[in-house]
Amino acid sequence: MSISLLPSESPLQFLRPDGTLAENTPNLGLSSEQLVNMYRTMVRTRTLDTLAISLQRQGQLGVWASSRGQEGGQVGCAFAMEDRDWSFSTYREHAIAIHKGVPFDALLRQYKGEWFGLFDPKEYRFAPHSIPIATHLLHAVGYAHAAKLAGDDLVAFGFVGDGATSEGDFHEALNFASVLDAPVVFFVQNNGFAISTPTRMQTRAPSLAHKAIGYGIQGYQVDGNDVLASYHTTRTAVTEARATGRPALIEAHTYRMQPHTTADDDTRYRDTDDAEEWAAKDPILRFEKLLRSTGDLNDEIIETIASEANEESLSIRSQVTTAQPPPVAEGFNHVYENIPPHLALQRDAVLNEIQEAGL
Amino acid sequence: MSYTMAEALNAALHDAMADDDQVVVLGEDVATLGGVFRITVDLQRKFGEKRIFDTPLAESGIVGTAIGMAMYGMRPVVEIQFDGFLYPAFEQLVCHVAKMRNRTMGSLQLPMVIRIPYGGGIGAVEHHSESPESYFMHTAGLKVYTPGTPQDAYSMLRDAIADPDPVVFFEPKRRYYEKADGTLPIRTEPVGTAVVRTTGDTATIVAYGPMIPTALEAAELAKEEGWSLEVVDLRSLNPIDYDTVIASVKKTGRAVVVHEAPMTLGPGAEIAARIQEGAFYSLEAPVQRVTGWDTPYPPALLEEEFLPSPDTILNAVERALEF
Amino acid sequence: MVFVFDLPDLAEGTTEAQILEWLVQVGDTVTIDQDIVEVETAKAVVVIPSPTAGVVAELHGPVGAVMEVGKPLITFNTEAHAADPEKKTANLVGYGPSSDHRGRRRRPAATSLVDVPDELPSRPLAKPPVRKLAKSLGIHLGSVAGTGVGGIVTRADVEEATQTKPATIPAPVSTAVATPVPVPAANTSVIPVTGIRRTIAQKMEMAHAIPTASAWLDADATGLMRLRASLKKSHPDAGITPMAIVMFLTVKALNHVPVLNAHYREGEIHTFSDVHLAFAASTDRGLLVPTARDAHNMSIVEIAAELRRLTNSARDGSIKPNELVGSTFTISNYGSLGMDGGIPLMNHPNTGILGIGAITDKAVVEDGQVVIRPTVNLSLSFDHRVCDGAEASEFLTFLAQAVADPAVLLL
Repeated sequence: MSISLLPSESPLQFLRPDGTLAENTPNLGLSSEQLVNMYRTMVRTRTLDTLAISLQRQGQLGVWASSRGQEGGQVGCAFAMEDRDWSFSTYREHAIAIHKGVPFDALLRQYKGEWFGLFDPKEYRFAPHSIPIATHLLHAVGYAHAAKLAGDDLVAFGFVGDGATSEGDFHEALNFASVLDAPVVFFVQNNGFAISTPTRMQTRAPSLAHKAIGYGIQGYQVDGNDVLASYHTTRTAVTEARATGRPALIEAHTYRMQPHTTADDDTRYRDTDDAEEWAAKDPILRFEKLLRSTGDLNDEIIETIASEANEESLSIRSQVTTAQPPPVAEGFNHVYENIPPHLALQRDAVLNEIQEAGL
Repeated sequence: MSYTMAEALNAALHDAMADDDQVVVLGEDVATLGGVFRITVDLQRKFGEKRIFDTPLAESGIVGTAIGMAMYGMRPVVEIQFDGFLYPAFEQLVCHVAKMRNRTMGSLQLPMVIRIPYGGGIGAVEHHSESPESYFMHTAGLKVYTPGTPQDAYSMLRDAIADPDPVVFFEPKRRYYEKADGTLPIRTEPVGTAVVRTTGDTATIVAYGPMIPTALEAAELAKEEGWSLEVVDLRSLNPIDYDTVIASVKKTGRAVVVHEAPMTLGPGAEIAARIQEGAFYSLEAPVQRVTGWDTPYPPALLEEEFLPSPDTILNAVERALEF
Repeated sequence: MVFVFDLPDLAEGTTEAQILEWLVQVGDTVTIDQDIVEVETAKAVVVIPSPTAGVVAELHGPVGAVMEVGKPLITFNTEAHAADPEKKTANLVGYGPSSDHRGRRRRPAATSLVDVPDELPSRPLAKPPVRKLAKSLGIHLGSVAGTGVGGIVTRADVEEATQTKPATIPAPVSTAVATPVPVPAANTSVIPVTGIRRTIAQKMEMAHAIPTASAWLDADATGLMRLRASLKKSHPDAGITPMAIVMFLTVKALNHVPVLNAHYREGEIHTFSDVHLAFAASTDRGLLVPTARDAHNMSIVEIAAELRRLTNSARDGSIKPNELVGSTFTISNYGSLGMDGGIPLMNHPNTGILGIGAITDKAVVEDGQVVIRPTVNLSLSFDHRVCDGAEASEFLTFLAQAVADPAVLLL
């Protein structure tokens, strides 16, 4: 039994970098419309991610963690999720957020510092992104477990990067999920680096997916730049999780094409050769080639998708640049259900001090 | 010639490693990258991978591993990347780092340093602007140091590394690029003593770390009001040099404690208690506190309201004068 | 319109950046997000994209220049309705480490987090140094009425109390005078209330805060006057006055009703076995209230001597501060001013004060006959929180019997 839990020797790939399909590609059951929607989501993600980097350089955002290069794995995974499935993500799952319908201007205004969460997580089944590494995987386990107890057949998705697999909470989450039969899909995007630290400094396991067997759960390796392999693998895992409650660990091999964040300098720790090599494996380019070859895309559709994304980007830019700080009282109003007396006094003193200053 | 606090810290690590080959540095991204704030930059090139190495992403693992290395006889200096990422290591710090000497009656000592960039004011995202010093001031067995000037950054980090006890070394990240004139190395007053940064007799401003430049700016602006403020830089938060604090308050009769950490059970609570014990008959007014709010650290667009500023410090002085 | 773009904090807390290369020149037309300059911060080399479309009007530094975060980097001329609606907030999310004073001065919060009392509690309020000052001068803070907010005793209050006598006579206490306050004439002259008068005034205000009741009776002073005549013969030099005898008898009466030899403090009644008997003394500077300490251990002769000594030293100013404080009961002899009777005001924190009227011959009815008797009016004011009319009546009756015939003390 344990042998079957091991992931494949190499990452599953259907869509080759040159845009052709591998011979063993199964019928994925995706309609032309779905395929174009997947492509559109990838383009939107990259366009808005690029906008965010610009806005940070222009002094509008404190920092930004780019998802560039990771759109394939994320979009494939996103399209395997049902609407009712929940995402527990880090700060880099922008495609998941977009697919879930999270208003992107809200995300950017969060990074501008207007507030931490400017959308209702329940509305989008998208939990507030978690910056403390790996901590939210346990939340996914608890959410899935509660749903199962309540007879709700949703699946929770826990997203992390390669670095997070070193944290104690990663171990605890996988173990809990397995022991509790909690329907969680752990989706690890191995993008090669935890800031500057390469994956070989995180683990000497054959792959991150191999860790699954230690918890008695199924491991998968997939090409994270192949939207179709990602879709297929996630679909397999989520279907199993929904049916049986058994969690799964998916490792999507990809590459972070930007520095860790806009505050990082990746030239200090990695070769530009790598970047060029991975640029050739760009998930959007190869998918675009495939869909052109199948006739699902043409110049006109591509141009339309691009210009729609650009318009969306301009509109969001304006929402971000005109965003205002919240009223100072908001700093105090959400700490407790009812503001305790000492805090009300402090709030009033602060507001009074500001008012007295004529601000 | 001038140098920044970041450069001073880097030089202190360099010189400590050069002087004592038992000094080792570990943490996330410290070696190849030189740390996200470049505090450890170039150290691996100079001292090699045995003396400074990148760890897996696991704060409990970093501190716990450093404990073992210190037990063997090394002097590990670990970096926690940001204040808000410290908490996975909390158990190691509180249960083991703080207690090893006591539980072994001094047989096992942990001469290690836990460096933590802390505090706000840089427009950062969540978990990157916290001031958790109270937890560690509260934990017996830990020393807690925090420099407020580039000169102290060098000297106090050298002292911390040389200290036979574990030191939690809080670095005011918003002051990393503050400059000081002169050259390194520089040695300042022994750590454990507070320093009067500027003398005055209207009120005593008790501050530390990132609030030192803020307090000094307040002292400068206070002159326009006809006030002279005495700024006491605590430097060490455990132990605290109460003799210097109380001598100053006995002179001025008024005290304002300033920190970014929230008010409730922040360092100011303990300092105010000590002042009323030691300088009761000299107090012209209740000890004032200018602190962060009793809320989670706010989003970036509110942080300038949250953080103590020269303005809010002067307001507190004025409140003290009204008594 | 002119659009000035300030150098942002590009990487979490950086304060400056060096210009490595300008990618545009003055006069160039740029589009939004077009790369304009490459700079290096303490953390990284970054290319900054243009925040606006427009024509480059000015580059604010040459290649190699170190630019400060928050200061102008490049200026554009943009069309009036430029694509970017730049009615934005502050350009910088992080406002940088070196600029946290924003050139404005707030006024302090009216809502102080520190409690300011708004009513006078029973324990005197004072700043620690004022407490220390009062202590060093031997002044009971409770005997100084505070003029600060909520009755706080200020340094000025204490200092003023000391000015009544150069360095030696601080904070006298006072008792009530039975005479009513004179009504100001039409042509009013205003006299500042200072010095000892002010202390008296403040003391009276404190007395007013005590819920006080008063009771009085006329006592037959025949026995008192006989005793005085007898003692004058036996101790001609002792200077025994009726007041001295009343004080002696009062000690006995207080032994009989100890609740009146007490202080009331913060909801507690502190009764004392020792009697420290204060008495009002008029002096040139005003009313002083010296205290005969340990009156319970004194004979009439000793009380007379102490009474004389204290009165003289109060009048000549040699009285010591600690002789003006610490009383447990007070007597006001307004009889010496020729008054028949009165209602004395309390001497905080004592719980009782006895007023003595003039001893005069009066016609009284005795066994159906009108007879002439030396008579004295005895008036007791007491803190009604501490005791009731029954105890007051007990005290006055006991005292009246002793005044009429001191021999009852032998019973």
